[in-house]
Amino acid sequence: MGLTRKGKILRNLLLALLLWAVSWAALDFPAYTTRGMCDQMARSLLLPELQPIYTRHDRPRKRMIGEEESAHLVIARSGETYVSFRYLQRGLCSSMDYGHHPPKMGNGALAMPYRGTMYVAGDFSGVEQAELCMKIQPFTMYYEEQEWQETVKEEERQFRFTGEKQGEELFTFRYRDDSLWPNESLLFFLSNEEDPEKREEPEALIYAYRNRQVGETGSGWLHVDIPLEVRLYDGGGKLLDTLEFQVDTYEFSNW
Amino acid sequence: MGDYAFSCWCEKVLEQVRFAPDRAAIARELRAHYEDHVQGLLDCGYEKELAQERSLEAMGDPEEIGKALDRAHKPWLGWLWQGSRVLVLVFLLLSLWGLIWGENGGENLSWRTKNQLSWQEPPAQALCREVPNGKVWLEVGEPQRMETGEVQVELGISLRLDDPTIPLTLRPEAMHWMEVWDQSGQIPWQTWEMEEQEFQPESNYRQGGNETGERKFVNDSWNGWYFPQVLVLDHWPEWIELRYPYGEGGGWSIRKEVGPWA
Repeated sequence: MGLTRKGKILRNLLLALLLWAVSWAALDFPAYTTRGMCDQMARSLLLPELQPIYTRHDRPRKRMIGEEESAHLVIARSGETYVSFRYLQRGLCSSMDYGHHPPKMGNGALAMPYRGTMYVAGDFSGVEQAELCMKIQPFTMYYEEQEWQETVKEEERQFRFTGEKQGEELFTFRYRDDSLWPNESLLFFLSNEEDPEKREEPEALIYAYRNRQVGETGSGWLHVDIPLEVRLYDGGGKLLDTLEFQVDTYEFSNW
Repeated sequence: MGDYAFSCWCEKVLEQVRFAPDRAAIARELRAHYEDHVQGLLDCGYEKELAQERSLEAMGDPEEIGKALDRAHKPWLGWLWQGSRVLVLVFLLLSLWGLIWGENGGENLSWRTKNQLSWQEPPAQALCREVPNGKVWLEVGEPQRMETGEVQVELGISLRLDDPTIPLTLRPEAMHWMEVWDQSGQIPWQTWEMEEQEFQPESNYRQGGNETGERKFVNDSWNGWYFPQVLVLDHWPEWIELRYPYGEGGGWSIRKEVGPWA
């Protein structure tokens, strides 16, 4: 005996549910919403719950020919732990970006640079102003047949930026001079890093931590911790606290 | 003449049926009934025209039949049925696409499932702790003093998450942030990337990440992971502690007392 129409509907819906589960698993459990991303990260990081405090969605960029990728940055909090992570979405696939912006955690506060802006998260109740101080002293390590030869250091430069308060738990500091960097692509940065005008800009200097093989023109980018200091002030300009962070050069990566 | 009359009758019936996609099937069924009836009368010796006329009369009032058929072929039910068919087709294509080209792919699905089936809870002597979203076990082997004077300790860290829907790309990220301590301080993880550290002299990138190198998981299943590790120390450990300094209350830790060197 054939199924009635209601029976067929029920059968099809059950089949669709099963196929949805298979496709969701085959696509590696993509998360499309901020809530879904936070839940996945909380489970993976063994945190009870992650509450998003900031999200940023960037328009799709060309990754390869015919393939576009959009980026979703999330800064979230679980108790006193702040977490930042990024999801990349390509078509129906949406997964955590562990390649260029792997998850970062900090107890009490967190600093992370992302596409020209330094995001500093923490409990900023009562804080009205904030100032970021970035010390950069690029150096080049010279190697010959994998043996370290010498390190050539440049003069140390300090940069100060005024923060913009984005709620009770986030300050943002724009460290990129947009007039100098109209194009955000990494290739554009690398091809302009020797430009004297741009060499006075923090982002270009961060790209100047290099290792080179003696006698060769190519170079590699070094992992180096950049010291940051964030000074927090109340409405009257009184210094309330100073936060110190170390941010790796690769975190400034422009991907 | 008979056929034309039936077509007109049928058209009147179908006008009453609001769910248009079913009209063709209904027309086929009505025609089959009508033709059966005609054939029956022909077998009884009726003339063809008379048989057609009588059969059409027996079919009844087209409007009433049409309304009854409309009640049986409710548009919302019809559209729901059509929608469910489309849904099955979409998810069938999606799962095929995912299995062939997806991040997890068919191979990974079967491999994770196979590992899941062979997953065994760590032995009873392993220290276990309930943590948010799962359980962590720590096994500490008997420290061995080597000829060089160094002390080698085998560690086994197991993790089982409550939820198996963890993406392969996210497989327990927490492992990268766990720390091992003894009485002398934090112990660096031993990794195949140690030589690379020389090229990254002043960085703590990803704290547990580059510093600890790529973790080699054993039993990479849906929600269970085992991470073996060998520590090489220049002293005898009195205790070994696995720490996770994140989350509510400053995180958690598991400590195994080793005792003094006998």
